Amino acid sequence: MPSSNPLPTQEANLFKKILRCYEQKQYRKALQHVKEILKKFPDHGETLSMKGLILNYTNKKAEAFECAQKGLKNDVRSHVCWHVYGLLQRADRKYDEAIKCYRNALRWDPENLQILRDLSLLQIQIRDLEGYRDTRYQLLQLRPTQRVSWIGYAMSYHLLNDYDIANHILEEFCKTQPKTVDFEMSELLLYQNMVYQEAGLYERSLKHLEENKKYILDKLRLEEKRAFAFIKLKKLSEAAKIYEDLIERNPDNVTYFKKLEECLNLENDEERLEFYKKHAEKYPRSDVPRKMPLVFLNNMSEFKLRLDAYLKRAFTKGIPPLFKELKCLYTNENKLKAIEEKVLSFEKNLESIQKYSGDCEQKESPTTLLWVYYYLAQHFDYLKQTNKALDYINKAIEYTPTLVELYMVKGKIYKHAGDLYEAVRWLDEAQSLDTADRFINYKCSKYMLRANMVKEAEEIASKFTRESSHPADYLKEMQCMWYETESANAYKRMGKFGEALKKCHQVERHFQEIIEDQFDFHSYCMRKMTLCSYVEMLRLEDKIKSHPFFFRAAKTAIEVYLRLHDRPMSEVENELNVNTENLTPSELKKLKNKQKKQQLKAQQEKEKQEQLEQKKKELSKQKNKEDVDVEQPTEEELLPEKLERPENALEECNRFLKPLEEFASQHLETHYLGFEVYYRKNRPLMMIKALKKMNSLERTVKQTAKFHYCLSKFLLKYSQIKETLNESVRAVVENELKNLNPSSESVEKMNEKFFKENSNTYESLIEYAKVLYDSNPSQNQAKALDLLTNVDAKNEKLSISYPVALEALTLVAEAEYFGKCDAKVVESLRSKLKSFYPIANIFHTTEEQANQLLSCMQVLSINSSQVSELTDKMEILMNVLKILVFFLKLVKFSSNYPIVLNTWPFTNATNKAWDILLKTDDPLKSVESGCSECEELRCDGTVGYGGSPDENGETTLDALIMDGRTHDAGSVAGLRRIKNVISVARAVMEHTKHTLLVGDLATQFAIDMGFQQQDLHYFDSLEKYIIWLNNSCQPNFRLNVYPDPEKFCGPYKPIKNLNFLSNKEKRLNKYVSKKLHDTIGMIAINSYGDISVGTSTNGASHKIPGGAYVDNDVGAACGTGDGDTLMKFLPSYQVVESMRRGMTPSEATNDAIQRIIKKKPHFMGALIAADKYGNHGASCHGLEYFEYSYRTNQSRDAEIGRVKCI
Amino acid sequence: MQSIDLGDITVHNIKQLKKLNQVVFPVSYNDKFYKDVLDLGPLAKLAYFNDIVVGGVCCRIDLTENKRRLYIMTLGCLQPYRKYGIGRMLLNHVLNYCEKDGNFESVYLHVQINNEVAIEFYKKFGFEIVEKKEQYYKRIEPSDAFVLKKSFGKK
Ligand SMILES: CC(C)(COP(=O)(O)OP(=O)(O)OC[C@H]1O[C@@H](n2cnc3c(N)ncnc32)[C@H](O)[C@@H]1OP(=O)(O)O)[C@@H](O)C(=O)NCCC(=O)NCCS
Repeated sequence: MPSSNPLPTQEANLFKKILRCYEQKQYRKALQHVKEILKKFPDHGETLSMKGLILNYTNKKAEAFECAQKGLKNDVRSHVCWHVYGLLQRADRKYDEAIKCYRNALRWDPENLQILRDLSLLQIQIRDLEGYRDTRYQLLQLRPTQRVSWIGYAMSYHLLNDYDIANHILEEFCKTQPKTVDFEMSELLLYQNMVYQEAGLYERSLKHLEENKKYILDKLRLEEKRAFAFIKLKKLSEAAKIYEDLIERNPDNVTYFKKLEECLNLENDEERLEFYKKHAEKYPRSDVPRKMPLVFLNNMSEFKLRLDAYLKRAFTKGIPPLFKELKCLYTNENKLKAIEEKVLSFEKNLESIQKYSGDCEQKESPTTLLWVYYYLAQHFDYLKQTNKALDYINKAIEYTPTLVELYMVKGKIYKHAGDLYEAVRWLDEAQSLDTADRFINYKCSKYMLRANMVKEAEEIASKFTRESSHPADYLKEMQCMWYETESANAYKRMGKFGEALKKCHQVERHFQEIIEDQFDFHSYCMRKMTLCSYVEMLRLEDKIKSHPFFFRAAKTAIEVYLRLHDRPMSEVENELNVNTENLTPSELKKLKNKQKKQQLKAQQEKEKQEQLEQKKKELSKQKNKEDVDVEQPTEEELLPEKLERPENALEECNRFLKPLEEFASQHLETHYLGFEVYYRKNRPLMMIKALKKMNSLERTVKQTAKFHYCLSKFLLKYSQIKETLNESVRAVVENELKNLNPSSESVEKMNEKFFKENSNTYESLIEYAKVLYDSNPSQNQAKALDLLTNVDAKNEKLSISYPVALEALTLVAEAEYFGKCDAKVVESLRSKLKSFYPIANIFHTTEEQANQLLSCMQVLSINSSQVSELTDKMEILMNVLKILVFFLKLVKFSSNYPIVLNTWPFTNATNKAWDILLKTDDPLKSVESGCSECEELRCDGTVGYGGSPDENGETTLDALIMDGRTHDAGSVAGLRRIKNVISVARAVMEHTKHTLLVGDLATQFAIDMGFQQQDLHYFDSLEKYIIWLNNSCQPNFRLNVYPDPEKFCGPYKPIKNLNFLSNKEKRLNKYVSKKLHDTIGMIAINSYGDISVGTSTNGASHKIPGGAYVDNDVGAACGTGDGDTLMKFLPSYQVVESMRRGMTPSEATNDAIQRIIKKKPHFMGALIAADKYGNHGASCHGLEYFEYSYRTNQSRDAEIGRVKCI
Repeated sequence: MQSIDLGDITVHNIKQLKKLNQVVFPVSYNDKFYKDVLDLGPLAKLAYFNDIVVGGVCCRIDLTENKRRLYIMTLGCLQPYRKYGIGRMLLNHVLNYCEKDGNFESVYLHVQINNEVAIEFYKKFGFEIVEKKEQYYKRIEPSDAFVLKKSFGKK
């Protein structure tokens, strides 16, 4: 296989070395050799190609492609160059391209085994079966002695359904094989038999099995195959014998019983009953022969007899899933009644005499009654008798409060009744009773997702994820699709469409991965001879996207895209504008403010994302420097912001819709979704196709209604666009309409007819109302809405299932299907639906829902500090119901702002901040100038230049400033020689992407920004320094060093092998006293309620001051005192979060201090806080009193607040 | 169809013990009690009836008064599951533990003076009332308690 461009010997040897290094994955070394050759022959094609291949393995994709391309250009007649280019295409999952390359390679080297093998793998992967057959033929020609050659060739015909040739090849091959008793021979024989049976050659199959009985090790499969063949040949008695044996082996296999029944040709129910009775006797432990008669028996007295025996056995034994087993009988009204009667009588008797009935001999053990209660709870839950169900489950819990299953059923009952929060609560209880049970854990997090508690669900799920990775990442890696789909639905309900789509796309990618993963099996299965399973796998993969997991995710994705098409994201954001005419000017102002903030937030988020991406890129670049073997092509990252703003939402649907149409066409829902997409795309023929499909499928009541809706929609649209369609399209449509709407009625008439026939179900009513509205929106709006609202809860004939009720409310309130409508209308629909589902959260008022959520959160087992975002959740609820306006009026608060608040009683600083606030209404400026004032005046001798010196005797300054409007912050630490430290912090916030600059970097930055350098060895400070030195450097902040820092000056060296426990106490800064405290902290709120905080210190140590935090929607807090301890607890954040959950500022600061002193009882410090209404409070520890200052427009000078410490 | 077994208490099922104690005993135990139970090893056990937790025992070793005694903090069984031998199994486990150890002077516990069932139960296993402590219980009536004790005759 000489290249068209041979190298001299020396280089040719080097080239061989490259190949060897490549095979051994010594990529760096290989690249060195490449370099050597290229030095002399820079255009050598094969070397360039090899370079490309190696680069691809080291994850430099772009460069790799470039090299390979160049190599190929320089030597288009080299098989190496083509092969390499093919491999690169393959790694990039461009299989068609790769195949072309391999073919080209083979032109120059037709007998290259490696390339032929690679080609065959690709062909089977993309199911190019003819191509696969031809390649396998060549491989057989070249390697006729190899087993794999023969089998692969035979299989290629098998997969093409050319059984004769496949059989022929296999037979020829088997002749050459000596028979051995081993796994591989057994598999080969079973495979051969599989082909016989698929070819319909049952006689031959049977003979083959008989002959090879002793070589087939999988006896079960052998017998099953024999029985199957006998049935096909109508030799039923032979088949029956085998099934009897198989049942003997496994009496719990339903299929065996059914097949046996088939073979025995049982005439009627009596014979069947006799048959099962016999087997029940023979197999006392098997459930199947006992249950089967319950399913087929129509004779009620016989049924009751069997039922009695069945139930007694089950309750005594204690079979938790009993209800699930029997649910299939509930479609029969009589059987349902019989079961209810029976179990209720058991209950009565067991309670009184501990027996099933008076004539039973034996007393039952106490668990029997427990299982009876448990069953009845599920029974009444099924019948939607929520109260009765709850009574029974509570009885059971009182009887045995330790049984975990009971709490799960209790949660389920609440879920069915629509009280999702209460459901979560009981699932969480169940989960906490047995935290080692993964199933319960899964149920619990699923319930949480159903209640839109995404964070909490993740928290629960994380109990079973690897600790080293983020739970969401881990679940993604594990392809945990139920979690992703449920999350997607939760996000969808919350209006976080980008997040929802991200999860759906993840699921879609998992399926893609599963398909990709086949690749490894093509060669593996052939080698290992697991041939039957291999063929089964190939067939499974062919229709993998018919899996319900894919269906669910695809449905959600399409629904989200439809919604984004109807109302793109930018519009959605402005939804807060609804009903602005009802707002008072000040409310309007707040609303506007809020929107501005949201926009700002969104933008920042975007920037943050971009930064993150940048970082990631850099990181991966760094990674590339090392030799990492990454074959996977890097996937495009799924960014929610991008996903929810698609260029063409309808086109995005294809990725999900096409597979559904191919693999899930038996679901009516598929075509319903398809119709919605095509309707928006204006594609009449596609709409017709979807309608035809729907028409051909069997439909439930709900589906009939949906079909009616789609057909009506089509007719309405068609009458509009008819004229614009070309002749032939119109002809097709007209023709199909003859079948779909045979009487060719008008939409109005059709709709009325539909109403008459279906008015007793709510789902039909909904569709009727939709069509009514669509056919004349302006005239029919009121009527349509009235129809949905004026339903009678007492009307026994009308059934409304919970999901349908929910759909109605969503349709009116959220999707605004009937146009914008009065809040009152929504309200009356809501309360009407509530009369059907009195405890469903969603039909309560926003305020009630918020309270329900709150009380649920409070009892959850997971740490409540993680349960944040409560206000966010309330906001979402409000969005759903569109009664923000109502809410704003409801929450009456007294606002005390503008206000300025200061941690220590430095009134001049407070007054300065106040003046600026009044002048500019800018809280940030106010805080900055207040802190500056203090730096200037050196309040209390610890803030500002010349304050407490650090151990070098030089003063360093720290400051932090945070703007609640943007949630931006800037800070500096260890700043030297610059006076206006708070202003530097502000500059960091405004002029850098960083939040913190430290030390010399900070100083340099300040100088660059134009701040003046100064000597901070102020007299007072130098003097202090000398005194400190003379006092053996006491106090200092060293720990675990020698010499003993409590006695001597440094320099210190660290002591290794610390026993931390003994030092626990010492870690507290005992010496922090009132004079040696940390900071000034300031909060300012302007007249709009916007908040800023700042804090400035010369720090007892060089750390950022531990405490200042603001959230414009909640309030702000800052701390002072022992900064090192403060750093460890983030109390300012804690305070703000506590206020978010409803604590007052005083309660919140108190709570935060308590948290600190629980761990650090000697802590000294204080916290102040203000909520967004301008209420303020403070708490402290370690001093007797704490004083702070504040100023509002109530007084003409700063006032002093004083609290007694805890 | 009855099976009775003993099982260990772990972080995963400790809340079941809590549920149990909440309904079996009139006094409630604090979080520290349950935290400490996790370190008790064989001195704390759950009893299972047909695989459902229905009873439990928690003891601790008492070294006061210069003696080595075993103190039964809680031993109880859910109401519907009483008189099936659960109490017996739990107490036998405790007594076996003492016997195997060999160095306990006695095993003792407190019982509310009106709890005749429990007193009968313990007497059946050789316990005797040795003292009456007045005002032993703080929040329940009657507040007096008997001390029931079984000595092992050694040390
Ligand atoms: C005391 C208690 C633990 C007994 O549990 P139990 O599982 O019912 O006891 P057992 O079934 O193992 O009975 C063992 C023996 O105690 C005696 N006994 C138990 N309950 C009795 C009762 N109600 N009346 C008379 N004797 C009784 C029986 O003589 C029985 O012996 P037997 O099997 O030979 O008839 C249970 O009643 C209980 O949990 N009570 C509440 C908790 C309590 O008070 N604990 C004591 C303080 S630590």
